[in-house]
This record gives sequence, structure tokens and C-alpha cells, in this order.
Amino acid sequence: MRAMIGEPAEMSAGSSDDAELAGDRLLLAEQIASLYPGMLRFARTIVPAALAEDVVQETWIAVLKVANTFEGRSTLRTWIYAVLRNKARQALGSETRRRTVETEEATDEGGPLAGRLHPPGHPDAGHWSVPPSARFIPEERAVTAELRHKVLEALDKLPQRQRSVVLLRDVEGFSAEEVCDLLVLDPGNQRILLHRGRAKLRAYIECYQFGRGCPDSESGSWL
Amino acid sequence: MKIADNFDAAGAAAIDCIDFLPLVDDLLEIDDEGWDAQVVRHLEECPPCRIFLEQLQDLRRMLRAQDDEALALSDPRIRTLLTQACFPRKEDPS
Ligand SMILES: [Zn+2]
Repeated sequence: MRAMIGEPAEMSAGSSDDAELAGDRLLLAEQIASLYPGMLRFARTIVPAALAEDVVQETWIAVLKVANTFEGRSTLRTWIYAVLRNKARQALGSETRRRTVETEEATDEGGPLAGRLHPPGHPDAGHWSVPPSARFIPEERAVTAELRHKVLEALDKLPQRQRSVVLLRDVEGFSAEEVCDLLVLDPGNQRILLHRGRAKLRAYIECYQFGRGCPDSESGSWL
Repeated sequence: MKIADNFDAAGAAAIDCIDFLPLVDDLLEIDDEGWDAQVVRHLEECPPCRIFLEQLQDLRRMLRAQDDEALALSDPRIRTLLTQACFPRKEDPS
């Protein structure tokens, strides 16, 4: 069990005296503790919040049942998230499976930058008319709890597929390839969803911090 | 912020803000040493696009900062799961 934290090949290695067993339990507990909050966030992008806890618990129970078959898996975390995705979809029925094959619209009219750049024909066409004013976090500053809360608030407002992609890429740190596998997306769609999700979050924080580009003023509705 | 429609020393056409904005997601993935010369030049000459990129970098920092909490080891959800785990016995071949 020690190998749940390390390399899959080490899964069945090691003795099981009492001290080692205690150590293994501790390592497993640490593994669950560190992955659990992110798994809950991901589950909530697929199922209603009330179901998310059950889905994460069921995922861990399934994972722990087959814990000695990790060998050959690409990475432990990606595999656990794939089990989680399947459990969440089972909880929802077939509806989600159908929705994930939808393709993202290529056009993005009415996005958060609408009206922020000079239109064709203007002497300054191709350049900002309402430029961004300042960065969100001055250099060397820590991220404040208030800003973290605001970002989470904005993330919750994103359309479901954009929220899933931004969460997995930017919060959980999965690669583009891993996200395509987990969400059954082609690379082009993953890219568009990430771009649009980030663009809306940036605009939301810009509106909150600087009162600029807010959806009810210049830019129309983008969330 | 207006950038003349001319060419740099390497003969590359200058890009404008509309050309630059779709590139920002790629710029977030790679070190600034790997950025295209046209992009570097645009960022030098266009403070609004530089701020726009910095805002997205800051946004990613804020998003990454969501992932630094873990459950307490004493959390009952973990205790429940530990009872499900099968730990190897002494006689397991290894
Ligand atoms: Zn620019």
C-alpha cells in the first residue's frame, strides 16, 4: 500500500510489521487528505453538490478495492480522477455522457472583450479602446483570502464544461492531454473551453477589482 | 498603444492587439525565453497587452492557490475509508 504515494511498481513491495502498517496507513491517509478537496471540486462540476460527497467516497472505495492493480497506470492521480468521472456519470445516468460529445461553438461573439478594442475602420483599429488598467496581484504579494474567494465564486458561475476544464488545468494542474482524456474532449475543444473560461474569470476579477469591463455596463452579458 | 505597421530587424511583420490576444493561452504554458520575437516586441510596445497577460498570470496564481488545502487526517471521512483499505500481510510475496 506504500506505493499509493510512490511508484506503482512498488505496490506490493515491503514487509507488514506493525510499525510499517502504521506507516502505510498514515501515508494512505495523507494521500486521501491531499486529493479529497480537489476530487470534491471536480465531482461538483459533474453532479449536484449534494451528491458530490457520496461520489468521492464511492470512488475511494472502488480505488481501495483494486489498489494492487495500479501497475502500468500512467499516473495514479489521473487514474483516480477517471474512476471519479465514471462514478459521477453513473450517478447522473447517461445524460452527461451525451453532452460531453457536443462541440464548442467556434465563434465567441459577446465575450468579455466585446467593445474593448477599436472596431475595423477606426484609426486605431486592432488596438485597445478600454485597456486593462493594472495587474491583479502586485509583485511579491500573496494571494489574499478575499481574492481566492472571488475567484471560486466566478468559477462556480462558468458554464459546466468551461468550469471543468479550468478547474482541472489551472486549479488541479493536469496537462492538456490528461484533461482531454478525462473529459473526452478533442484538443481543439479543450483549448477553446480553457480560453473562454479563463477570459471570463479574468473579466470577473477585473470588474470586481477595478470596476472595468463589467457585464452590465460596456461589455454585455458574459457570465 | 498604437503600433506602427512596420517590420522588425528580423523582417517579421509587427502584430497588433487583436493578433496578440489569442496567443496568451500559449504564452502561459511556456517560459518567456521561448516566446516569439513578434510577441516580445508587441509586449514591449503595448503596456495594455502586457497588463492583460499579467492579469492572466495572476489569475492562474489565484486558481493554483485553491489547491493548497487538505483534509485533516482525523477527518471522519478518511477514517471510514481507511477501514476499507486492504494492507499487505507479512506472508505476501514481495
Ligand atoms: Zn497590444
